[in-house]
Amino acid sequence: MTTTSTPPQTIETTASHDGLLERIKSMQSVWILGVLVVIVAVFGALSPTTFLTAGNITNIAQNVSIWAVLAVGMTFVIITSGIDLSVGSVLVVSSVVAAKSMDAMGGQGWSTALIGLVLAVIVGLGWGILNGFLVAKAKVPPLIVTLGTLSVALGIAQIITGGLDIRAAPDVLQDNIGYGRLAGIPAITIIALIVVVVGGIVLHRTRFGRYTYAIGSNEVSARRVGINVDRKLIQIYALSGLLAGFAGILSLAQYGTTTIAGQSLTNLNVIAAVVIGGTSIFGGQGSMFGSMVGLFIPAVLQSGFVIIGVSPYWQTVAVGTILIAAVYVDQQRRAAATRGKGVSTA
Amino acid sequence: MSVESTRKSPDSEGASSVGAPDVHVKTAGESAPPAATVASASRNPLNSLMAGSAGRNLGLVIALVLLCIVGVATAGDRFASVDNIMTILRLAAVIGVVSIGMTFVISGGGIDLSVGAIVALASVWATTLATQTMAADFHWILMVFTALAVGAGCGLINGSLIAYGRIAPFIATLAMLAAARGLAEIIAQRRTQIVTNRDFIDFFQASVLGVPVLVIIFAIVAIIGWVLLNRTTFGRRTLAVGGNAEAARLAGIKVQRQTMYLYILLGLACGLAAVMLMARTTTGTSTHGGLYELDAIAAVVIGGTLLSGGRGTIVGTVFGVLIFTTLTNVFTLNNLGISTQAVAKGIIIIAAVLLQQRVAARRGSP
Repeated sequence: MTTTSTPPQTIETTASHDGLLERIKSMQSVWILGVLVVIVAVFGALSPTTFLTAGNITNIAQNVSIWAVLAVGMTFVIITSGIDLSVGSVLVVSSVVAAKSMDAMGGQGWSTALIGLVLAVIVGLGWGILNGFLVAKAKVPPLIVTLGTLSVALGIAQIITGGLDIRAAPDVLQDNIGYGRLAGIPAITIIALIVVVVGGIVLHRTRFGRYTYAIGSNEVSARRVGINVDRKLIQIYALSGLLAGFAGILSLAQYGTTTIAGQSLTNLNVIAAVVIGGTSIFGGQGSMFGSMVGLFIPAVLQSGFVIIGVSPYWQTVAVGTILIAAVYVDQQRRAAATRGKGVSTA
Repeated sequence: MSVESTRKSPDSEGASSVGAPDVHVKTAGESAPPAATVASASRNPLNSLMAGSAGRNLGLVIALVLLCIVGVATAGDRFASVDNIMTILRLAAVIGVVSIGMTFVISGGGIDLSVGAIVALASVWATTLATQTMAADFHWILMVFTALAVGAGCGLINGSLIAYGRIAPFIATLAMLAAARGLAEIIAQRRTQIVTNRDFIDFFQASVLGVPVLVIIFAIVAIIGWVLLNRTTFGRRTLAVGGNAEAARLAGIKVQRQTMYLYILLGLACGLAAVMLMARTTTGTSTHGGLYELDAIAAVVIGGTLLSGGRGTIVGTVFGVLIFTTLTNVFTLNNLGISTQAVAKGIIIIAAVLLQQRVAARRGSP
């Protein structure tokens, strides 16, 4: 067991001794950024007048905003070598609870919106803590836990609403957050950007972030050096849930209605984005920047396909192919790095 | 191989560290009892029965019986009629065939998220105008072959990517999910394709001695699956690869080829499920098989197959499928919607795994 657990550690230690340039070159997010640039360039060349316009770019940014918020939490979870399949359902159940309460209060002002926000975040946080508790304390594999809570959360949302979407977002929420713009940029995008930046700082610049990597890299070592792994895991799943709740209220603001049936593939889309961005499904590696690049590739492809007149169904085929290619290239590179460095340290 | 081994290490180490504190407490207080329980377990016939596969499946049987009692109590004759039982079995047949294939993949240490998408793609491909015209000219068996070939092809791609490309099963099959579903939508253009071949429908919707053909197919697949997993070298190799890929390789098993076979097998099962679904609904669409991956994984896991690989049970999987289908039926008969079913299903999945772990911990501690 000791022999198998050494490779990740050696990568970790040697990587930190390398120069900045080396580290940048070894990051998958940089390679993926290259792919994104190529895709943008191709579509830009094919239809320069419609694709590379401010309107279209804002449109794309607006479309990925909600997924970006989810991807922040998912990046943390996957770095711990976990997975959260429940984000889409938690988003739905949070937005349903918020919409129902705001509907009951009846106001169209900020006070109603604020209560909705608080409720959505609390519901999301609750689900997250439940997920985290089952993963960390009850030791049920994350895939099963979040598969179960996916089902339960969606079921509860359907029971509350009777399966019919609720149209109950206060006007202030829709006008200011959903349709609002600040200096030409959609408000929802700015909010998502703030979440992403804060998430990135927490992941890359704080002790909490370092612990996240440590747990994913080697859980037992993390325990041995005195990290309270169980508590950290619960906090990380709680964070993912909380962000899903927050995304729930953003979704209400953007669409003006709950989207009960519309989130069934959200979890897989977000996971795909995070993994395309270079976060290892085995844990211990990844970056917030990469997740964001990974998020933009499907969005840009979809927009580009629509503009140049290719059936948007091809988008899913393309995303699947890019997902495989990205992971394959990454693994080849990582295997080569492990071999090379394994020799030098041995 | 380094990828495989690093993947395994967090799981197994995590598990051992979990058990560690408990073991310490126990050995400090009662160092003798564990050995004693082992001895008594082998002597007491009831205990040895409980420890065997019968004991593992007993919980599932009890759960199924309880469900049936609830069904009879709440819906009476509507539940306990032959017609209704055949309805349950017919509904269980399609997802059952997929779940049996999934049992092999999960026992072999993998996972497949793309089963629903493969079912959709196979059903669409086998019902295109071109395929159906050719089938009308020749024989409807052509549609069956098409679906099986599409399924096996997707399985081959999954298996090659995972075994030879060393891509994590979760990721490879997630990509296949997206790609196959997308391809199905492209081919069908999101339209529902009607199966026009009457002979095809008549054959699969028929009954033999009162038992629907779909149920017979499910039974045959289950029996073949059981024999393959428990009585052949293929099955032993599958469990060996799932239990410890590195040890299996050192023992001379061609791990990569075995892994690939498992995904092809599951692909074939998906193709067959697509045929059965086409017969039941007389359509092929890109929306067929929605969330099958979750249903199949849930049925396999509550059946007692280890998600980390190395142990698989076909009987358990069949019970798992029957439990979920009966649950759906009982809920439907009582006018409880899909929503309540979803809640119950989620709770059952988590509870079943929790229970399994308690039992495994108790059995594994000595």
